[in-house]
Amino acid sequence: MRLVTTFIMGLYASLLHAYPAPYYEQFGDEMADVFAQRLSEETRPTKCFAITLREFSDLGVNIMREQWAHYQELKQTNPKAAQIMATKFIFRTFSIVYAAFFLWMSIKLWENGSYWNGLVTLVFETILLVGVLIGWRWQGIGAIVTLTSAVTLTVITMMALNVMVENIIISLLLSLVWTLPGFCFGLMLLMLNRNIRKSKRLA
Amino acid sequence: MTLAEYLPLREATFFIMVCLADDPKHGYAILKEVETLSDGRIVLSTGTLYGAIKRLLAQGWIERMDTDDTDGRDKKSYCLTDLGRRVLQAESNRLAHIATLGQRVLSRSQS
Repeated sequence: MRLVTTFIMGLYASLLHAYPAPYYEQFGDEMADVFAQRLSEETRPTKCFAITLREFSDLGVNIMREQWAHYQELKQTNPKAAQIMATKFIFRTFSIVYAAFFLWMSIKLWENGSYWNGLVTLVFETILLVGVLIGWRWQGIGAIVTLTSAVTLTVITMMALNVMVENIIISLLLSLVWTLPGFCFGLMLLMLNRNIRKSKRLA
Repeated sequence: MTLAEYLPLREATFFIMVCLADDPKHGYAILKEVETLSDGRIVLSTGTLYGAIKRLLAQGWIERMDTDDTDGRDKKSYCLTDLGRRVLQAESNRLAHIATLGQRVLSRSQS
């Protein structure tokens, strides 16, 4: 029980990063403290579950509301920053869909195909997804992880396909179909990182 | 802007301001007191509470202050400002007026 509550507290504290940065700086630590206090005070598992469910569902709504308020504020004061924020939002939404879809695909492939090939693909696919998720906050590191794992995945898939197709070019093209979203996300993160740096320099 | 333009307050906002009227409180104490004052009817989530606190700070109705916790950690507490107190007073008067009006009409219709 203690381990579970510690995990939930950690998860909650991590999710608070999804609030706009100024909001997080002002209230993030306090919110994590209050949530931890609330959860540790409760001894009944059912009550703990109810609190967690309500807090997490409310958190989603509140994050959206605060992000929207922050965007409206930025639009008035710094349109360039508002534009970057909108791009980030699109990237984040797509990254969730991408993460869910490709993880599901990798697990399906692992279940139905060769154990070791599937496992290696799943491992690198997971690293790629972690890179995409890191990119939520740290675009530069996220881009490096995503692009590196996309390249590795392409090579692994190409070698596996080459055994069947026996044509390196066709194998490469087919494997790129599989890893193209990874490259796109990596490049998108790089561009985002460059724009953020530029906007910070201008500010 | 006159005080009347701020009214009516949301129920949760009203309760948060009421529990800050006596003395400064930190986040968890506010949550607990709002629950007690409303007889368990209003159970705020942490996110909703801090969303409300952010708006109240922006409007200048409450202010933030540093207080030492029993375990020596710095804790942020919140207290009502003069403007906040006047808004709370205005809202209380408004609610009292509505309640009186309701009671008067009910007692008239019963007699």
